[in-house]
Amino acid sequence: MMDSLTQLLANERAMGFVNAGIVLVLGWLLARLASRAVPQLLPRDERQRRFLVGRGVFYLVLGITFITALHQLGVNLTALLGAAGILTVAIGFASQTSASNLISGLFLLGEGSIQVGDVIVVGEVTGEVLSVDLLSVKIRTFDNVVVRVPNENLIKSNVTNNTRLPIRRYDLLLSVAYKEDLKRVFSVLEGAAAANPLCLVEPKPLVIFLGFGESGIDLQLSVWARREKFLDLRNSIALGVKAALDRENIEIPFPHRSLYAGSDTPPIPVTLVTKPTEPKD
Amino acid sequence: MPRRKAQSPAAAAVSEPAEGWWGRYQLDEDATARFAIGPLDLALHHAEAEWLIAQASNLDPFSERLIIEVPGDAPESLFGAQRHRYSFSRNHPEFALLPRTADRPVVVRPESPISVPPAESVTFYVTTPLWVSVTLGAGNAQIEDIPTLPMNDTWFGTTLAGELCYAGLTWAKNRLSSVPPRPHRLVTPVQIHNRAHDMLHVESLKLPLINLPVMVDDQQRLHTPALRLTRENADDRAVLRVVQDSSHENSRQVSPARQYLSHQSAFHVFTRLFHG
Repeated sequence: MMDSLTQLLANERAMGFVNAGIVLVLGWLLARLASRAVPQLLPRDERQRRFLVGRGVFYLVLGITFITALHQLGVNLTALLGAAGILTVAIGFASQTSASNLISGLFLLGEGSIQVGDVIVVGEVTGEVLSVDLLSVKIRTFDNVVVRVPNENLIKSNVTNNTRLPIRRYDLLLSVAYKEDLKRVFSVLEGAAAANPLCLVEPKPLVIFLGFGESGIDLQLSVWARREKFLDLRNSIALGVKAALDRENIEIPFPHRSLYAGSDTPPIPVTLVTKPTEPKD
Repeated sequence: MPRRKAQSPAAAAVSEPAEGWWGRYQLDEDATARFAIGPLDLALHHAEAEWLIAQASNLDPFSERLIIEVPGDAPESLFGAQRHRYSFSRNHPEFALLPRTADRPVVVRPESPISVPPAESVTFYVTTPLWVSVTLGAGNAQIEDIPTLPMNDTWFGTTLAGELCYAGLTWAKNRLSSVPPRPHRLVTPVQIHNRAHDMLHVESLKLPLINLPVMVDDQQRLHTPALRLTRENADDRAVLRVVQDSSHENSRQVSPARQYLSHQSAFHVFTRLFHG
């Protein structure tokens, strides 16, 4: 028994296997520990980033462990790394799109401009971010459909994040008739904003003159709301403004068309035609 | 002056007398308690193993109503307004009302801008609407936290970062005797010390009411400890300190602060900077 153990210890190749095994076990444990400890350094609310950093650290430590284990086995790493390089080039050519998405995903995660739970607009897709993965971002639209957007698209196009900042401004566009007193209209609009409990007092609501339109005077009422109440405000401010204008008899004009038959011509004649009633039996 | 319309003998408090509208009450089954605290109408109906609580506000910030009817009659329309049912496994005949501060900081704007010259110290008395906390059962579980007057939201900070607050308007009287007593309002003395070398223009002021307890003095007036704001430099920050106020005599605490103010520090309290 002792003889066979001594022989085993004397066998360099066998010892290499033992050492490699120990390195693999220790490396795996270290990778587990590091993948849990390193993400703790990131802010708690960045769940997706913490997850990916954890996985990255895990595979990095595991990779180093694997190479060390191969070294213990006496494998020529130079030749292996050379082969791996050739393989990487081959795979890279074969999966250009995936590689592009992967790199885009790393940039997205590094930027931190999109977080899980954000409501974003990408192209024609609007919805809540379900996950930010290495290859794509999953978005749940408001009609409850999941859309997978490749990371490359997000890097290339404009992305609007509706929930990143705590407050948002809503611009209500409206027109009033030319006959109205603008000072009174401004005052009524400011009053409607002040009466709306969802409308923030600061930053102040703003009424802006936009121009003399085709059918009336174009105005903009800009009001601020907490981002959680933004949709509620969009509805309630429109209701409040309409009610206030109606109450004050301020006309919201519809498109007008004036017909002229020429500068010096008399008005266009109008003839009323009465339909004859049919005799009853 | 606020008036107490009726005080039923059944309103005898359980553990201590209800000196204002706050305190502990007992209500029999199938009975209703009615309160009018300034603009707030509040009714509590005790049914078998459940309570029905209804509330409405007439939005009059100057209301001086104080009606306590336990038991009493609540208008039917009140129960048609905002109401909520609370169910229990057994009957809990006791309830308690407690005055609380607003559940967020309040940004008050003086009715006209105030300026405090360098090296001057002034005291203003600012009033803000109270919240009414309703607790039920032996465990004093808080089931409602109702503002006596709904307040508008406002933002204190920049559009990139800041804090959601309530907005209020104040006459900022410099004598307590000039502040009309109202049952739904809380008086906060604000002492401003301007030690900077420039004039301090107070256009608005953020009051961290969530960090203050509610006290009552021997005149049954609800107030908070005083806020001492010391401005050292020519910016919008001030060192905030909570101090006892000498204008209220024999005060005692009625309800604790919502949040503990862990340290004194320099806060942005005077102005806001908005862009866009």
